[in-house]
Amino acid sequence: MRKTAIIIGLLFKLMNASSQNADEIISKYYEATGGKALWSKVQSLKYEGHYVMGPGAFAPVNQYIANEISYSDFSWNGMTSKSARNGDKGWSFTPWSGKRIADPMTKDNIHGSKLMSDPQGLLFNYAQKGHFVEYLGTDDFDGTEVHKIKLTTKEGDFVYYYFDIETFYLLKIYAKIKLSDKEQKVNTNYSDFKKNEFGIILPYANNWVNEQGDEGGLTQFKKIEVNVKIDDKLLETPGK
Amino acid sequence: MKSIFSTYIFSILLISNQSFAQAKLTSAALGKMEVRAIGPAVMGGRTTAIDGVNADPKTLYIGTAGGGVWKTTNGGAQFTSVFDKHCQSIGAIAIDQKTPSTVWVGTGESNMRNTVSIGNGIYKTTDDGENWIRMGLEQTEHISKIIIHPSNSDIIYVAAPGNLYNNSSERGLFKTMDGGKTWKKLFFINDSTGCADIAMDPKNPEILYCSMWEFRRKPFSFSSGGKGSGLFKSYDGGNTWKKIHQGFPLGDLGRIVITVAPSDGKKLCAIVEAKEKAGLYISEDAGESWKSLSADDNVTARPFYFSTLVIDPLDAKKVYRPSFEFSMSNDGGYSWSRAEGRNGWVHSDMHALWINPLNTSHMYLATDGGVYMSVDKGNNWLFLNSMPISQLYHVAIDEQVPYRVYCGLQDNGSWTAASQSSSGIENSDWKNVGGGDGFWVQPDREDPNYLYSEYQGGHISKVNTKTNQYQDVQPQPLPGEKKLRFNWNTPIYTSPNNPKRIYTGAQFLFRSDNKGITWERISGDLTTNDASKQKQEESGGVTTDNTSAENHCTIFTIAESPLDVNLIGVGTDDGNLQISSDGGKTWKNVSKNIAASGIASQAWVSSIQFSHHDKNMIYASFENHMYGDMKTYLAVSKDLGNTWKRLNSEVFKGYAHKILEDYANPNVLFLGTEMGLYLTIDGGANWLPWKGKVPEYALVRDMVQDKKTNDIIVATHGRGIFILSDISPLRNLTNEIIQSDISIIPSKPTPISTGHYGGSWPNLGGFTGENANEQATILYYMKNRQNSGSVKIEIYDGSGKMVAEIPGTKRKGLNIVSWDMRSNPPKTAAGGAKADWASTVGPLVEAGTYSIKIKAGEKIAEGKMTLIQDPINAFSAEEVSKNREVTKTAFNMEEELAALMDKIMADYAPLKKAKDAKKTLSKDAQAYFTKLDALRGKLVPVKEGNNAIFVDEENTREKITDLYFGVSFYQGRPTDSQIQKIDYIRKELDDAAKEYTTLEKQYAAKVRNEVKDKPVQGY
Repeated sequence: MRKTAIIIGLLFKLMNASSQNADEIISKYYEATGGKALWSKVQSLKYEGHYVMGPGAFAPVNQYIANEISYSDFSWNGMTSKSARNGDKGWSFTPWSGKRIADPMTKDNIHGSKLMSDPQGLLFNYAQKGHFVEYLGTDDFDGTEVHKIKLTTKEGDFVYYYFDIETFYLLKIYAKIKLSDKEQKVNTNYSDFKKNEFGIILPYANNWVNEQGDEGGLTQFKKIEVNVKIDDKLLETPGK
Repeated sequence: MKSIFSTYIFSILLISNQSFAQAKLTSAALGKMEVRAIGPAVMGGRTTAIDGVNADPKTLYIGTAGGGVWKTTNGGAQFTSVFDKHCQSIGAIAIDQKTPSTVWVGTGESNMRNTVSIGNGIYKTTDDGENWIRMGLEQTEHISKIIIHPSNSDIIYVAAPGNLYNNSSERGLFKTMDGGKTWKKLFFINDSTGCADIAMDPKNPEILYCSMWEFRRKPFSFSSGGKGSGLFKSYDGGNTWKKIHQGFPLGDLGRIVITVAPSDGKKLCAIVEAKEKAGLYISEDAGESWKSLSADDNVTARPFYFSTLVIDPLDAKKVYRPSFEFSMSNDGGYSWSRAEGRNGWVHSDMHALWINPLNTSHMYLATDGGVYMSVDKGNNWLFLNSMPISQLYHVAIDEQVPYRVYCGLQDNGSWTAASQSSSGIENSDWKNVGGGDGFWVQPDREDPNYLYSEYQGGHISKVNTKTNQYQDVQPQPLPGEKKLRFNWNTPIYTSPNNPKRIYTGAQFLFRSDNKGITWERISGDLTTNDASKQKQEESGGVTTDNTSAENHCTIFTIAESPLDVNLIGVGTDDGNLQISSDGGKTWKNVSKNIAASGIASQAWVSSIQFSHHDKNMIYASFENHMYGDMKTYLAVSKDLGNTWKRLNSEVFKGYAHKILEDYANPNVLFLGTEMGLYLTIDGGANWLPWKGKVPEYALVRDMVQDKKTNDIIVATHGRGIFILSDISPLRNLTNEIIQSDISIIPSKPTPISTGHYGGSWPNLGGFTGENANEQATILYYMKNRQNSGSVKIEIYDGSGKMVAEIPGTKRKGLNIVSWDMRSNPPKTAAGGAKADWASTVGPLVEAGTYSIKIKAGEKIAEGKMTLIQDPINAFSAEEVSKNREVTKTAFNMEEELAALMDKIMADYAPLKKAKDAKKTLSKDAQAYFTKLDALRGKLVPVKEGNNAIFVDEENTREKITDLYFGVSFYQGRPTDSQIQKIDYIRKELDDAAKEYTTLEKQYAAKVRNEVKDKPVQGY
């Protein structure tokens, strides 16, 4: 009797392997990376690391996301380019060719920045945020089988999430951001998953990916901190 | 009951357990082994369907005969392939105009020529083409039209002509009422008759028109027309139908094209194929009666192949007939004219037209040569030549470096280009070497200025590519003999053993050793010579259509053993495989032996491969699709054809076109089919589909291999040429490696170079194919994706010094990481107003053997890599040594200046900060600042502002970087002035160092406390 029950249980598991829906996958993702309770406490993420320019060439980077606030900088050859957004206003500063005044962010830049600034991820309580999700089945990502989820934001952007079918780690995000008169495609692969001091598992490395699917520049982080307050001075427009 | 249930459960578990227990090579293991696409796109390929978003006419979807679906969101400035995971033969596209993110694609082109491919159903996307789901109709094989109900997007009508070769009930008019979840066959005549066209009344969607078409193709004939064909009308959404032939020709009809004016539902036009009174018909009363009108040949041409007739969305008087050429009428079809064509030729043979409803002068045209755009109502057209959708039949290469590729294209002639070119292989790199339908092109193996190309029906020319002289060298019949039977796709084959020798075949095999001037007939009739299959003059059905496409009982493929010039194999289109071991004196037909292995007895022999490793071993591919049999047929003989074993796999899809054996490893084989590219590394016991950037259902027609580079050159019928660079790692993919957590795969020695094909000018339009990667590559295999921990690759020189550390990739399977053969870059001076990018470029390393250590988390793998001097540039050792010396000097100067500037900035930056903050500074502080500022200005660029990029400044850093870039991007001897430059830069550096030392002694101690602060990061 017990043997039959075990067999039936296994069969049930096999059958359900192909009928998972989006909520299940999302739930498993958050459970696998720290648990929903812990994730609910995440209000900001502060990243410290470097961008690999080439062999032996590492450019320090800092990033900060907290929904209404975002900041990033990149330093090379004694200079630092940076961008910041505070609510619906932002700027970017690019000094490489001698420019010393920041440019204001466009409405499209702001929209894109907001999309990428949710420290819990858009999938966390997506419905409350006005988004919609669909499960697209499994797919192949660089030889690894993944679950694919599509999130449609209330503004009409599409964001595709690729979760490792075994670990449920998020391996890739492909976003099609709806801009005023075009769409912007952002394709990022994630790796080097570690648990930080706060207790959530995050990718400590990412690569951008071009339209042909080739991985480009690698960013690696040595520290990712949760709920650290950003120095307000960093949000001030430089060069005023 | 209980025991049956338990057995069933146990079986399921057993099957699933077995699939997890074995670890075999899978497509995932091939990892980063990917092809590069090189086109050609200078001419296109057959395009079959177009639909655009009415409210946003910049967005269009293009269907192709064998290249999938392409999308543009900018009116054709750029196209992206959006259907690579699915069937590549496209019959119809329909955008849901209410929700344009939803698009339907019907697969299986319906221009029923002899080489048409098949589909596998209808697909839908709801996210602008990012993802597609198959929604049914898998067995229809061909879909010609899709109409979406204008007010209910869940109601879709699909016209499916159906199976071309066999009776089938999976044809007719289909309808879904639930968005594709379920389908109903709405209208069906018989197993030989399908639905070729549908139209809907623009005001009343319940009124439908539908043309039914009886047709059949065989390998040797085509029949269009029969009692099943007709034009029908429904008033109730397709539930009931009535024939509307009042005024139509009598007797059997063929294909009928029907269109309704979008602005006037009573106005219909039709083109009717019939034995008599075929042509254009117009109805002004919604099909109740028809009037026959005379129209020029272009309007009525080739109805089975040209099925497009379009009425302007706003003006019922404007009618367009794209067929052989482009015709237009301004009076509702009563009279016709041709396009003005002032800007040149538009490819003939046209299959779809989309008119922008917001501006009806603006339209897009699908032809046998790609897509065109017009903004003047079709009078003149702009060719949009950025899609690599060329339909190759065959490919060849020569022995030049880089090798040239040669190819023949469906309806687009023959072309050649180098496989690598400065800035990539652009449209302008392709040279035309033949017209008509191109098939085989073979370079002359003695003289690279000559080649052999052909157009359909065996019309072979010898071409002098230097003088552009063409000589017809087609073998001719003997006196009194009937016309030779050449296949539409006649083989031209060059001997691998004798560079003088070429072969071609009709029903006899011909051989020439003098460039086609003399042909020796070295066989009798090698075909079945079945007279019943040689009546091509009767082919066509109600309309005679006989263009050599149906020629049969002909030789289709020729091969000579690489190990024996006298061992020749010939395959015919009617199932004979004949072998001669004595140079053609005698022949043995082994087709019966092949049939014994399970291959269909009349199957067309599509390719023969004599083994490079065993003289008795022969591979052959066969295809039987023209008898309705789509199976993949492949067999091998180890005894020169006496016995055969069929090679099969559950992964195979599509009928087989080409089998290719690796010249170096007998276990590595490639198979090209109508629906994919497949690989085995164990002699055919197990196969896997190749996925690396090749569409999953690519129509792979031919392949060749280059022995120098180990490249496999793949010819597709719809996606141009793909090159799989250097397959040698596949030879080393042992079981031990596949089972390992991480292993390095040895790679061949790499020449150190700065690249031979870089260019400085951006692409000027059209498609650009990629060059091969010339950087050193580190190949390693990982059993699983590296999810935790980084992957680092450390490279050590012969003395054990680490010269470079690069990040590795983390994918499952084969990883291929490029290294530019440069060591770490110099630190360049900071403190300037602009960045110096010399800090991202290291010097080239020396030739030699390097050790590689890969650290993937806790796992480590070690191996070696060899770098050699570049044989192409062939600099002497002395030249290279001098270059390295100057490069090193410049490198050291960068770092020396960087160190000096660090010291300067350590004092300058706090002083600057204090000044900017308007703090009061002492006289010494001010003087120190002024003098440091002046010194800084000599050493680095200091001009700031929005236009500073346009301000050139002379400074020491710029001089060093100029020198450093000048020598480190070249490997030969530096120029004399570059060498002399070292001396005066040296003086500048020394003077600057002295000046700083003096200033520092004079001021630093007094000033530093005044502005004690940490230096600001960056500036």
